[in-house]
Amino acid sequence: MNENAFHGQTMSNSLNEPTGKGMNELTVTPQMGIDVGPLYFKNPLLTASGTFGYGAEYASFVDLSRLGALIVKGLSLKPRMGNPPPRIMETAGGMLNAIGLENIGVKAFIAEKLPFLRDFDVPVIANIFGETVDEYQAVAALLARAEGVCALELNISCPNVKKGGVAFGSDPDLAAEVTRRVKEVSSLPLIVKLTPNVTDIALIAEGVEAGGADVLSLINTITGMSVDAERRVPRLKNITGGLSGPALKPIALRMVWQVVNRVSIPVIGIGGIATANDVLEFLIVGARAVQIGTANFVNPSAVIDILDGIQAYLVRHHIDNIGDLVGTLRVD
Amino acid sequence: MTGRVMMNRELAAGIYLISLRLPEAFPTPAPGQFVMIKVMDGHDPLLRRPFSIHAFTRVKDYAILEILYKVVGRATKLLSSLPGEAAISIMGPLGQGFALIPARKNIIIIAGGMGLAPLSFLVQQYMNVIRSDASHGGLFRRVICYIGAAGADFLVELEKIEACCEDIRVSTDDGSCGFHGNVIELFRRDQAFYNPDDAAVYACGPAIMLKALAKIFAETEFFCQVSMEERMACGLGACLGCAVAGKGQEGQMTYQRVCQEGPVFNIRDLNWKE
Repeated sequence: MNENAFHGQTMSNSLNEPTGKGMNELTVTPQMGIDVGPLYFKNPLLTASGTFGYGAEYASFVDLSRLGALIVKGLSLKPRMGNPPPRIMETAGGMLNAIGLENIGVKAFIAEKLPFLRDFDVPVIANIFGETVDEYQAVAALLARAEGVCALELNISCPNVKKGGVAFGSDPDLAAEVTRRVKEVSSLPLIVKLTPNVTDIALIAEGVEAGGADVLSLINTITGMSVDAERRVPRLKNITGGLSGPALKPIALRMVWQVVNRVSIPVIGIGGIATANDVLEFLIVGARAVQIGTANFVNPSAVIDILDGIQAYLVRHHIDNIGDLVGTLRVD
Repeated sequence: MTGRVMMNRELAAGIYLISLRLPEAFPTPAPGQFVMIKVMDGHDPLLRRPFSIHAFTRVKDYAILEILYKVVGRATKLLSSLPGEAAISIMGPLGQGFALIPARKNIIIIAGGMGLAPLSFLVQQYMNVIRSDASHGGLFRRVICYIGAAGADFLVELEKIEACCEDIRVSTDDGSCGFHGNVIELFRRDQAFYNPDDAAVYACGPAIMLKALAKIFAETEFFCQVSMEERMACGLGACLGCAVAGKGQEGQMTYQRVCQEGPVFNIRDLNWKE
């Protein structure tokens, strides 16, 4: 961080007010707010589903009102117990999880967890899933009527039990159908979260766009495995689990870049983001916002620390508006 | 918060004691609580590691927190190599601590191997309560510590426990010291002398040991709390990674988070089937 950035940061007092700088230059405090389709976030940092609980778990560590948005743990129609332990295992630069989509169910969320979140100035996005399209619809319909939810994020990495367990997100037509059917029952802005466990994620993205999604978010975790060589058993009771964390970033970045070049709807980037620099990489390849997940486990204030780093970068590069950075990758 | 290493030494093969200097603002922990430590900056190892609090004291304008740990993998190996004044990031105190029942005549501690780590803090707390009570003419109570280890070389921190507790009963798997057998077998030998109205039992150790204890206490009214361990990611109750099988109010299966509902559980509230 150079001297200019430091002075720009400490001497700014409120948004968009010119301040003096130590090096005799005037600068405007960068505008961190950004439009993502029908949504507006005060900054591009969202917390990823499954990594921030229902919000209250982090409230004593982080001022929730400083987040761009909070995406809650994935909700299903009925409560789910989740998988037997062991559910997690660290890997090199990442971790595997097989939590099993444990959640209290959409009705308990609306009654017990949503009221707490309404006290904060943070958009709440409900991540939802189902085993059948009907279930997706039922959950969506309940949340569309609930007060305090600003958007839905569809987790389509789940197996469709009616179609022999094929994951919704691995077939462009299934993905399009579930998107369309959710749109039928809910007018809330719809983000569809794509799984990387496919051959061509851009193809799935196109299908989901055609199905009426407002925004795409990618990537979810990649299926991985870990083995205890002494006892010769899998480290996870479920055998396989989803890999998340910094190890995922190059794959996530590549997929975001591919999808951005194929669809017209905005994209939210997810995958191994731990620093301000990571966020910038995703914005530069074309994501309009990002989700921070595993990093929250290591540092509950990760989002806040990253925000400060982004601010410093924008000042250093004389960028007034974070939106100006999106999609500025130079490929000769 | 940032802690600084004051001392970090090997007590027995692979077993270390580290003491950390913490800012005054670190909240006073209850025995049974734990901390999440980021052993080194960077992504590998990535996650913090949970450690039960072995001892805690306040000194002038700072605090000293002790952790008893075993080197089992990369992060603990790195921890064991930290020199004096090394800075580490520490989150805590976290989780539910042990419930003290000072009116019970027999406070029974059962520690298997590294299970001594959180129980030592509990023994210290109980002795503070009992001693301050005794000086006011309180009722008769005693703390009895059952400590099991693989062999004599692994009986660490005995002097520390001896300073707090007169009645220590030792077992070793290889018979090199005390009772020849495991600590549950040792406890079973004495079990008939205790009854639910006058005893409170606290245990920590390998899963197999706690499972055996659960079987012993299953159909009894004994107050028995155990401290559990599971891999953790967040330590705050958000990721649901540390779930262990528990029993709901109607006896149905439910998952409990070791970091939030635990690490201390009533032994009969857990599901020991697996």
